[in-house]
Amino acid sequence: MKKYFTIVMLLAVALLIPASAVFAAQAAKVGQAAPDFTAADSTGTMHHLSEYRGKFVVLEWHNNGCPYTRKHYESGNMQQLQKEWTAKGVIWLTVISSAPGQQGFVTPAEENDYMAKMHAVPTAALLDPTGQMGHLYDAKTTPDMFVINPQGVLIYDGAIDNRPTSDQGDVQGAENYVSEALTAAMAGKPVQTAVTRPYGCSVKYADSESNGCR
Amino acid sequence: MSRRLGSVLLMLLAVVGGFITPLRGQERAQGKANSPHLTVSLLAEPKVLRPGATLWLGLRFQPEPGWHIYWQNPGDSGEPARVAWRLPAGITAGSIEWPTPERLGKSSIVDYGYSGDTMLLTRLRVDGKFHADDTRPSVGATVRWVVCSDICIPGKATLNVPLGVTADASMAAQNKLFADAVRRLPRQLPRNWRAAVVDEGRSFELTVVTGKPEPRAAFFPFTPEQVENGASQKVTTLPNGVKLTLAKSDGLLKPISVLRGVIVLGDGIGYEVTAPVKAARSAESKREKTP
Repeated sequence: MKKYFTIVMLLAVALLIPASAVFAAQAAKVGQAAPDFTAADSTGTMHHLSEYRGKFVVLEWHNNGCPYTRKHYESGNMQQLQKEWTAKGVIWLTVISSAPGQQGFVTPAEENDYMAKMHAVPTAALLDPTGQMGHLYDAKTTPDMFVINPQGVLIYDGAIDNRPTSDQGDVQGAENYVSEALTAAMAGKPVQTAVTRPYGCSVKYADSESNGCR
Repeated sequence: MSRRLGSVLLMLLAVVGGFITPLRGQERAQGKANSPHLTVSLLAEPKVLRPGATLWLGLRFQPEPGWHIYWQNPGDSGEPARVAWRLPAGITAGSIEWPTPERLGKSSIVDYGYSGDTMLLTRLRVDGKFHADDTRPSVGATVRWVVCSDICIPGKATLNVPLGVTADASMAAQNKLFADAVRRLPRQLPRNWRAAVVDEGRSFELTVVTGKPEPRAAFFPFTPEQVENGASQKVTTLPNGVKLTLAKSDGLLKPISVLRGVIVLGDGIGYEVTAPVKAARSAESKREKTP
């Protein structure tokens, strides 16, 4: 009995420690290399951050049922940003970390339908139902935005803009931090506002992963 | 099909109409609005406008079980309620005085808010020369909020409360509501208590000296992006108080000189803390914390 207990404890320690250590070592931080990820998009194509060296990459955490996401899609703001920046060579990746059964979870076909209906034009929509990529970036809300420079360094982490509400009326005239970061970085200037508090709905991760250290 | 569709449409209209009615204008605005997963009411105490007096306005939120609204610093997600007042001339409103919040969510995403019946108080000041032109003055409010469980739903209501009426039978019950709401406001730190913070590199160590051992404590920061909301707060009971270890937020890029917030002790009472932040005393302790 005692031996059994010891084995269980050892196993628990062996399982827990490396998981948290790996997470801590890879956590996304502005000014440091953005953690590499591998995720499939809604057409089944795999994407790795490393394949986008030499390009700016935007990560947009998404949940189509979240009122804060809807604020930026129903006003057309997000599609406008996607259109504007992909036209300038930016890789724009929408990331969906909702777990199955949670708000915002979509099958690849549902996501393709949604993008067609909403006229969303990201480079791709990555499906992350396990929350692995979400936890890698410590994405907290939808939307939560990240900008990575051509050297693979994270240069912006936070809110889409300075109006932390779900009102569509607040889109007009808001200071858009993503556009500011991209504009500054493309001009070779430092990003003035590099970290902000992301606002929105919590990312709907699977409950089993809600222990804070995965 | 047409008859059935017709009755369904009528029902839909009735439901939608029910939600829209309170929003139609101040004349039609009621003291209470039913919204999805939440009821919100506007109350005043006392309900009389006297020159030079101060009264409370209360926005009472009653979310359904499992649903919550947010504190002034909502934490990792969500948004605090907002209000725009319509006041008679000569009346001014302060800002919302937020009751002591709860910690919501058990994952890496932690919010601060209220899961039960909660009244958000605002102080109203009546000018000394106030004279009501109107025989039935009233105060109006347009309130916006986000109510969440696993999912979030934004809401909006236009409410109205008549003032200048004489006390009636419902007043006693209302008095208790306001007394409870005032009791839930964070208190000033008692004069003989002390609060101080040491910056330990990756964390803040908040010490509150109360004169007796404090076995339980929780801290709620007023300013977002200073303390990591999802990190557990280590409580160390001291002979004369308590020490809390608060992991710093990744979003905190510059040192801060003051940490402000609410500390809740074992009896559930919240105290407002304004604690100066000092650097760790020895270089050794710093090295320990930042490998």
